[in-house]
Amino acid sequence: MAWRPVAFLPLALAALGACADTSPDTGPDTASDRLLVTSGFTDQIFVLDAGTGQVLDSLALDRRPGERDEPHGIAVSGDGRHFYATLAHGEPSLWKYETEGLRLVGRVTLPTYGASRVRLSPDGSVAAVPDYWLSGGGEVSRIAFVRTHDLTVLATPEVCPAPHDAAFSADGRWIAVPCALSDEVVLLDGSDFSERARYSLAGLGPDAATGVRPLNAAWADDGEHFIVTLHRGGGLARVSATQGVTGWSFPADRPVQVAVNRTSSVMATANRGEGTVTLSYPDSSMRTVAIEGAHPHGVALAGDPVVAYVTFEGDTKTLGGVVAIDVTSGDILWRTEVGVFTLGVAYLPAVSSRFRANLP
Amino acid sequence: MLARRLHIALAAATLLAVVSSCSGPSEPLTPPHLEFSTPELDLGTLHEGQIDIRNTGGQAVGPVEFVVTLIRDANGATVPGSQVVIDPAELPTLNPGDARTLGVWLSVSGSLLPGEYDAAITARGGSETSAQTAVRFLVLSDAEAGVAHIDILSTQTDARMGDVVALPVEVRGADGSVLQGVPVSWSLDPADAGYVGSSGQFVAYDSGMATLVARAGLASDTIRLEVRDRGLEGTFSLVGRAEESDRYTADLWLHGTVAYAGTWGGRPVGALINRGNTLNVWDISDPAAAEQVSSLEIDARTVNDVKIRADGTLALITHEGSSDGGNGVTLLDLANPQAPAVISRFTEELQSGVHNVWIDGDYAYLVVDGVGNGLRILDISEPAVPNVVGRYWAGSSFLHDVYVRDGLAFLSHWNAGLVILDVGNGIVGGTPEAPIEVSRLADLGGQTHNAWYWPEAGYVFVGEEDFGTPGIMHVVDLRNVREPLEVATYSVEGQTPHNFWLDEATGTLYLAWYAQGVRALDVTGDLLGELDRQGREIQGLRYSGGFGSCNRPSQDTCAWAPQLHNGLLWVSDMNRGLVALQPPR
Repeated sequence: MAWRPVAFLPLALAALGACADTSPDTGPDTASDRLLVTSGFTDQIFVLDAGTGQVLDSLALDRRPGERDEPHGIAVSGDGRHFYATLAHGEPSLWKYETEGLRLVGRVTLPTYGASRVRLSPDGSVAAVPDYWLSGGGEVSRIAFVRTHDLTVLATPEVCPAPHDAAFSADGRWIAVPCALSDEVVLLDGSDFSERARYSLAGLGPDAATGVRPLNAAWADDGEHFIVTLHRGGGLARVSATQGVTGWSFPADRPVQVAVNRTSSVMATANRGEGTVTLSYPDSSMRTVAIEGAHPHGVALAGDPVVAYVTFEGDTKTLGGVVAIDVTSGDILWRTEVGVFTLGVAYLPAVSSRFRANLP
Repeated sequence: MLARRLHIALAAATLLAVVSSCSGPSEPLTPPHLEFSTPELDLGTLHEGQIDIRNTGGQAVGPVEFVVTLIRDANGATVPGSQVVIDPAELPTLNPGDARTLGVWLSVSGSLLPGEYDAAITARGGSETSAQTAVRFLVLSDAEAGVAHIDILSTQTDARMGDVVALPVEVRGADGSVLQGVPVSWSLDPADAGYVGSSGQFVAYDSGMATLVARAGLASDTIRLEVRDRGLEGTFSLVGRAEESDRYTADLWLHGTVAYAGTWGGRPVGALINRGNTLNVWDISDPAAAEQVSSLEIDARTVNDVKIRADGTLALITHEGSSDGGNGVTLLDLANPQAPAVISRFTEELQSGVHNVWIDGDYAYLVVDGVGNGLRILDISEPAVPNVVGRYWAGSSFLHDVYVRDGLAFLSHWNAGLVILDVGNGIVGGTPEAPIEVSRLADLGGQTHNAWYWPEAGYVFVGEEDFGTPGIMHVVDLRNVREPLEVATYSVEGQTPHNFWLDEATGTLYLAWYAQGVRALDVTGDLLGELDRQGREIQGLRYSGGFGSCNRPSQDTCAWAPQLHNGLLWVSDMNRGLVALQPPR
């Protein structure tokens, strides 16, 4: 089944949350919009000016200074007042910060083996953290669902081997869970976290023996379709919540994160293997942008005009960092080297005026 | 039912979130403020109770951590092996006005003497707020009735600081018969003269005259001891260095005339940040003039550990943060010891990273990063094609380090404590292919980081790596392998320990203590109480370590690991490389 990865893009994403005037997706055109990025090997979160890429601040999440803890996922609440980050190593944990003053206000140790991304329900009341248990030998692991108000762990359903993402649909009805070690995607019910469907992605890749290793998901605004990156297969799969896999393509090498902006005018995919970002448009056209930096990983889309913020991990000799890409032209707006093993990225609107200044 | 509960919980949380997110501009909020419900919690003889903690400020605070001091007896001496336990030990967050009830009880290994005890609980909400409360409890004697007489059966008149003195007692009734099992309490003058253990062993903390009074019922007896200084002498002296200033240095291993050291994290050098992707090799034929002869780069951001097989032919180095995501270990041929050659890289089941390794003959014991992973035992009899033959995980927390001796594997299993496996000892029939747990000691303060077993003395020296409280060294009595028991501690103010090395010939334990340098500790004889108060420290050396960050306030000494080799103590220093020292004895 041939498929162009943008076929669903004209679908608009629904407005989220009860207070639209505080939604984070208000555009990066003011100087005080921020980016938050996780530096997995220095145990930090860096705060950047979204307009210029200037590094403004940093936060240490260093529970064990002699060991690596790996901040991995990061997400901003719908009202922009809090953000959440995961620590993948040691005993996995979820950290809660106030954006005002970048205050740490909570941390909960998760009853899981690992932690990768953190995703928030549309109303911001629940955080979902997959247990990416890569060394688990294919054993089934869990998603931790945490009530964000008081960081109570609500549920930890067993889902599949090494889930890497748990993405809520825009209406909060579904949660899409790509399962890295079983080549599946599992759909959970957003209201009670029970399993509603399980679709196999096995055999989609060019090499059935190695599998496709699905990693991340991004929903369309119809609450029905989503895209899954197939890291090992080098592709993308389009999945219908009710009908299963409806298409796939293999445009790039080792895609990691994928994001769709709120008006579905563009989809961006970070291709870790070949060092590029693929931009896909509603007219089925595509643009590939080369990144100066090893291993693109995280993607956030924001603003009007839309900007793609893409992290790159770096490698064992180079720094990680972030690039900002004008999705209309494909031009690199700025590039900043920051962090080591730079992974997650989240966009923070200008709701906070007071940032600590502890960087030289 | 679960679904219904979740619906309700989610609905409530949603309502809270919406109300919170829609509130308009407000007055400046008062800072968070933690308060216990009482300044003193008296557990009496029940040894358990509850206490509330509340955030009376206007802002959320979290996590709220509860730090408990060691239990002290009426003489002010800490009691090893027993602790006050708080449940939960940490609250994720406390919103303004919220309160939580905490369970408080005693975890007692061995018996406590009759008397009064106390400890302190500190609730810490980051650097913003803290609260304290005292915990007191009482141990009563329920077998004192009928006691008419007590005798201390010792004629000893003097003692040396740190030596354990047995003070057996005999308790008799009114009819002259010997009473068994009667608890005896002890008081000291001066009160901080030392510590008396549960079996009547005394260890002195200070020189001078010490008066000890034993009491049972209304009877008492007194002994006076002239305590003399332990009289240890000796100092480290610098012999040479093996410099590394481009990368942070991690663990080391020496064999023959060659020193090997891994590298760690990212070190800023000018505009660059150099990753810990390298194994460094020095010729130490002349320790005063060590010369780097080679280095080996691998796909890693940290080469945390390196170990050499006893025959000197094979090395293993660890991968963490590899770009290809495989991590694992690399096996090296040491046919030319100064130029290790890669034989193979093994990644199966090791993708989350390998932090430490121990080699015992044809088996390598690998510490795999992350909860749920634990130990992998690798058959390395054919180094080109190693394979996993054994596995173990303690069921909670994660494994941090492993040490194998006499067929026992000592697993430093972080918050699960010290776990001892039979991997060929025979005590419970374990093998490398099928390791069997012999025993574990969970109550070591958490963050169990490293261990060194000394079979001749029957002790295990355990490091607690806690940068907060900070951590200490615990001494575990393992004369009964099935029932490990903490008997002593050693602490250095302001810092947490890292790795150890024991010179068994002299009974000297060398402890790398980060910015507090390297410590030489006399661990001869029986060990009891607080070793740092007994004149047992021969010397604590802080040397010039150059500059670096090392993630600690110090820009100077940053001792990572010691190894005694050919009469010299080599210390890997994160900032400086290797430092060769003439040991103090």
